[in-house]
Amino acid sequence: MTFPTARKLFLWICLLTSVSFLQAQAPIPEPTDELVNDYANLLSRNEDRQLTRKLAQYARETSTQIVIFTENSLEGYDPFNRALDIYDKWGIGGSREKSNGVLIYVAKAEQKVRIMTGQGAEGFLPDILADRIIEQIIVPNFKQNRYYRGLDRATSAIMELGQGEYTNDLQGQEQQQQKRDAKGGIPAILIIGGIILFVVLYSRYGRRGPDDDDDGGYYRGGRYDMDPHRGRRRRRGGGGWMIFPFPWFGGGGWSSGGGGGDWGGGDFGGGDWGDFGGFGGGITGGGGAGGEW
Amino acid sequence: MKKLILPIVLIAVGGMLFISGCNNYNAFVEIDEDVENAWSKVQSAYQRRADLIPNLVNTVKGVADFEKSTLTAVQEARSKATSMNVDASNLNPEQIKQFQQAQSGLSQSLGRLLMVSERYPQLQANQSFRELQVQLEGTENRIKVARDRYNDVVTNYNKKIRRFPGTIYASMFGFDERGQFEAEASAQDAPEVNFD
Repeated sequence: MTFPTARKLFLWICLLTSVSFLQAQAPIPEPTDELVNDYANLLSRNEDRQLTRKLAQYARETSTQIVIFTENSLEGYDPFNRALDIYDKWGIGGSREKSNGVLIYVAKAEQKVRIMTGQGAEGFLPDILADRIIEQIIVPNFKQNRYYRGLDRATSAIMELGQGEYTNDLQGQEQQQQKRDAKGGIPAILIIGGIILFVVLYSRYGRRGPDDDDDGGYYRGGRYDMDPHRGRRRRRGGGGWMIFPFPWFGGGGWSSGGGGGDWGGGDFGGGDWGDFGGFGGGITGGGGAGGEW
Repeated sequence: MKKLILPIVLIAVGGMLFISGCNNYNAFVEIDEDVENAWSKVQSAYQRRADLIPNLVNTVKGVADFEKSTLTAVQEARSKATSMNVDASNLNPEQIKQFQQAQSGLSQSLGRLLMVSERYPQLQANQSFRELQVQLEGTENRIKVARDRYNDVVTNYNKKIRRFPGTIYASMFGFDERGQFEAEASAQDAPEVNFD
């Protein structure tokens, strides 16, 4: 059913150029299983681990996810846009409904720091408080190269603010399910009408099968819909791959993949101290504040 | 037997058209809701900015002997921007353009106010002025995010209703093209300030 009109071609060109344009911008790392992502090596191994443990435990208790992301250079980017892209791609927060995530973004070379709040975190961490945390905790400590102290105290301050705001339960997922179930309205009646029409037609004309040859694929799909083969075939065929060629569109798909300690090697093989349950697909409205040291 | 074939084919074709019509209609309704939702976020982000301005003006007035013309320009631009309301069911390109023009007038006069304020040390030292600046910056960021999301949703919507065969159903059910925000060349440059 494709009609390659000039208009469609044009749209495709737009789409392709926009995608390649996006890729030409600085690549955003794939989401990790860690809440502390110290790409600029501002923290020692032990400090990284301590922060990870603290934040993961907090995320397990409250479902509020605080992520630290440090980077060597912005490469000419605006810290807000960079933090926004990371936030969007990673989906920080316990769930999309809650969107209770906070991203602390640090660019080492430009000496810029940015706190990005998810939509559900704006309540306990409004822009003014984010600004205060940056100006009064992060900036003074970073100026003296005390990165761990700055990040540790800043996260503690955020944790205190967010205490009691959320608890870790599955309510968000249930709400999403209800929302999905509650679709409908006038079109539902149309569909029911269509089904009735179909049944009537089928009982009248469908038994002898000349039409089975006429429009084979369509009718076979309709008629044998109840057939368990259909579902199995679809699952085996991997049809979802075509629709979601980009892994980050899939939402939480990656989060269930690896366990907490998979990548790190031997020395923290045991326990789930860094496990925080995976990013839940939170979104941000652009809240937060920025500063430089 | 043979007499039955024609009606069967006709009914089958009609049924297919009907079902694809339903599917298209549902898809349009869903994405239309997304557009309206995204639009409401754009509006509330702009509203948030408008709500901050009286506070900002009062703070500036109270702290410094500020030049009057800048303040009145901000107030005028604000009342112009807030008087421009676009209903979510009427998001045609001209409306969006007018809305954007009114809002960018406010952006410019606000930018000018903030630039001029840098000449007043007592303003820069004032805590509530600083907090207002932080809030204003956060609000501008929210506007940007809401606008980008709105544009994405509308792009998707416009694609759906202009593609074949969806375009036939779209005109049948009365789904029109929606307007988008354009990148503003003037908003990206810092506002000019004349000190003479």
